[in-house]
Amino acid sequence: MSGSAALLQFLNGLAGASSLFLVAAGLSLIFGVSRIVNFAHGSLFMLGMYLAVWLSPKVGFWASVPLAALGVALLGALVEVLLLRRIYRAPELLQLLATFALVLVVRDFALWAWGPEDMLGPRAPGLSGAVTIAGRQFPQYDLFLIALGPAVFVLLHLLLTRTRFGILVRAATEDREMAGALGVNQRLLFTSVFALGAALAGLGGALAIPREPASLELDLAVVSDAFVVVVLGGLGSIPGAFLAALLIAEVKAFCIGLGYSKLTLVAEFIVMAVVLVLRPWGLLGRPLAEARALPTEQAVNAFVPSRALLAGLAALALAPLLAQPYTLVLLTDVFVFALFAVSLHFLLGPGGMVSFGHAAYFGLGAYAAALLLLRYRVPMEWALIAAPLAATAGAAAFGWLCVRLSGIYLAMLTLALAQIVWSVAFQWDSVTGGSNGLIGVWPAPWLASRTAYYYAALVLGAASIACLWRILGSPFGNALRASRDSPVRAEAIGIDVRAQRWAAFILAGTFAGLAGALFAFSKGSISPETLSVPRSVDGLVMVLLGGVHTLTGPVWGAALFTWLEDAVSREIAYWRAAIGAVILLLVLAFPQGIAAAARRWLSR
Amino acid sequence: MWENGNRYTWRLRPSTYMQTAMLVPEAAKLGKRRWAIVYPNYEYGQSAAASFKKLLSQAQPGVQFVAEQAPALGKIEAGAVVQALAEAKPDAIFSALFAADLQKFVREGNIRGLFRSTAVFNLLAGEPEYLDPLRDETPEGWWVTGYPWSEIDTPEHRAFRDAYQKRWQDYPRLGSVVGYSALHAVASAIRKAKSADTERLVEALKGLQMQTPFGPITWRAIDHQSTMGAYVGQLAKKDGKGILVNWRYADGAKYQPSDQEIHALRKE
Repeated sequence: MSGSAALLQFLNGLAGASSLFLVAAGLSLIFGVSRIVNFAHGSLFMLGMYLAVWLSPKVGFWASVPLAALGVALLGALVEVLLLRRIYRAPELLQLLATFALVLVVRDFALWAWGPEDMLGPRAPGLSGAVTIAGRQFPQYDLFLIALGPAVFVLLHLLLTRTRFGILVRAATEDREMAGALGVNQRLLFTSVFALGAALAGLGGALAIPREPASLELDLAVVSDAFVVVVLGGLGSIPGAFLAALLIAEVKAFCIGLGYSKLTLVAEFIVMAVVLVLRPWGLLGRPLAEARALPTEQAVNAFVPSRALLAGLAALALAPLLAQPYTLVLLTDVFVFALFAVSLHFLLGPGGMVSFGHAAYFGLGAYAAALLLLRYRVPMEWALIAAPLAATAGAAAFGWLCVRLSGIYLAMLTLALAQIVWSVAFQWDSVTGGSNGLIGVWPAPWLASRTAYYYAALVLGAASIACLWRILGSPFGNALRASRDSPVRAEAIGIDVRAQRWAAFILAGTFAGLAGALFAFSKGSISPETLSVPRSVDGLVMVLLGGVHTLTGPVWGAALFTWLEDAVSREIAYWRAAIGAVILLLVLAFPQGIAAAARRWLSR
Repeated sequence: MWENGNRYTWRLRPSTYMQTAMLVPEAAKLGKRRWAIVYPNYEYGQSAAASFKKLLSQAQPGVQFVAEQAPALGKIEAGAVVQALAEAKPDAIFSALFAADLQKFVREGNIRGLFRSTAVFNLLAGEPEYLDPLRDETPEGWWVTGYPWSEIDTPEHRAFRDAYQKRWQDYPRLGSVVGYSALHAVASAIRKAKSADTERLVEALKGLQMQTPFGPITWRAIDHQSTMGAYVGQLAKKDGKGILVNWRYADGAKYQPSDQEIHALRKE
């Protein structure tokens, strides 16, 4: 690579960094103040793009940019006032579920309003050509972006350090309750910060349209990139986000320039994993202040098989006599995902560790089952039993790295590691079949019928779930909860907090692996989607819908979500929006989850 | 279709191999020596790149492949990729990009002058799904496979297009033709088998002949691929929209590997 080629790739990286920074800065601001992990941030970016593409033929590109940013800011304010404000006091993470529901609604809104076809925006008038740099053509617009990123950074910095608003934002980021106690109007502050963050996302989207078409898949792609930048830089730190955006964009540009284009998929996650292991709070971040006003975690009762639960099991055992064949398939799915959700809940609820990458272990189990069967000709029964061990190994390795962190940093590291596993499955064609996945993963003949497999899934699923619940009531479960509720006191009475958390990680991973293996044999094929981020998010949705602070909640959540997805996607064209709307309603009506709501209602 | 082929899988659309093979004769005609390749890094892109390298080397011995870029599907960093390709100073480029990746690549390439002195061959770029969003950015002169829906005037296509427009008040995309023909194939197979039994349907599909909007096709017994073809032509701009010119129909039956190769690959 010659010097001038390197210069040009460096400039490409700078332009990319500016776009990344705009999205990430907004996400970082919102998180810093409200502690909300805004999953819908990518959707706001996408909306900014669509608005700008739609408006620019009417008012011109340059006028469409501020209009789009303003429109998205208004929407952001509206979302904060109508939705998020109502659930600040709900269990942590419920806001995450609400913003995820928004992702679904916004995606279908864009589909309805602008159709499924990609929309390429105009070139920016006045900056549509190229300039010659080192004998090569470089787009004028990219030069503009290179200047704009730092300009926005400086403006934000001045806003945060030199204005009263900025002082309040910083105070709230530092210690929210203290700021409230000193008489800061939190409502106004939260709304305005959310609107500002949304405006930055909308601005980023609108400014992206001369470089890339607006398309419906951008929401999750953009938000996962933005997460990486925010976490890498340190949550709530704007300079950190700037630095991280620069680092990631340059790494990507040089991967391509040096001929390693295949690495770009995973490069950012490798960078993030390395940084988080070395610097647990990101490049420029600091440990988070505890948010004291959040309700303390509630105890999860020890597991006693109640009469209702046993009756339910008996009904399920009799179901094949009455049910339609398709119902059995659907119920088998429910068992698989119930186990997956319960294993995630084990980590999330009593373990106090939020995982955004739980699908990695589900997928490891599924792939191990398929590979054992297809490549090593292991009998299906043994493959099913051995496959979870692959997930155990993966969870042991990843867990060892993850348990050093806590809170949102831990969640992001699990996401990064899961993304790395996904990239390996997606790109290692000779072993995993790449994007095609593996086919022909069928169960042994005696389990091949729908009914036989239904019973297998029921027995294994129910036994595993009972086992996990039993463990929660054991001394280990108590030690785990103690480690969650007060790590310092737990250490003081001699509990090895890290060891408890690591063991919980491994156990949860193993059972997710079993769910994955069951899934592989029930479908007959697997593909990289088995361990992708949306699968992890599905798991979170199930747990949160059911209720984090209940034992049986995840099972109900899994059943409801699986049924909903199946029923709604068959009946309604805009099924994503419908699911999103149902989730929003449930979140607003039952912030503690449906299981807790049902229990309150029954005990009345 | 070949290595992983099995008794129960059939494919209507021309395979990546076939579409690549349709472009290779035009590519070899130009006699360009230095080729660069860009493709989305997953099965489709990899197989397009591998087929192209193999077929062009056969048709034009001594050809060089000087650069290869394989960005992740949907995540191309177009500026950097265009830059890296230009550094290799290719005479011609073979691309398997489509959808958003293609649009980003085209815009960056246009602005940075990558296409000024290079011939470009791009699979699928002439399909309305991918061509229409390009509008006035459409790169002229590219050789592509696609579907010039407004210009095909065979009776069978006219009938299909008229019926489609009447029903949907919209023009057909390639996906419309494929979906329509696939359902017709199922119906024809059931009619021929006089049953919906799986095994009898498999037998019925072998060698089944039927009409499609693109003309008659045969379902090959040897590898379960239909002989549906694609339209090969060059991109041009007309009233700010992309169109296909100099196009011809490439019959899928003519762009297949030899039967020996297929027998060697298919483990049935």
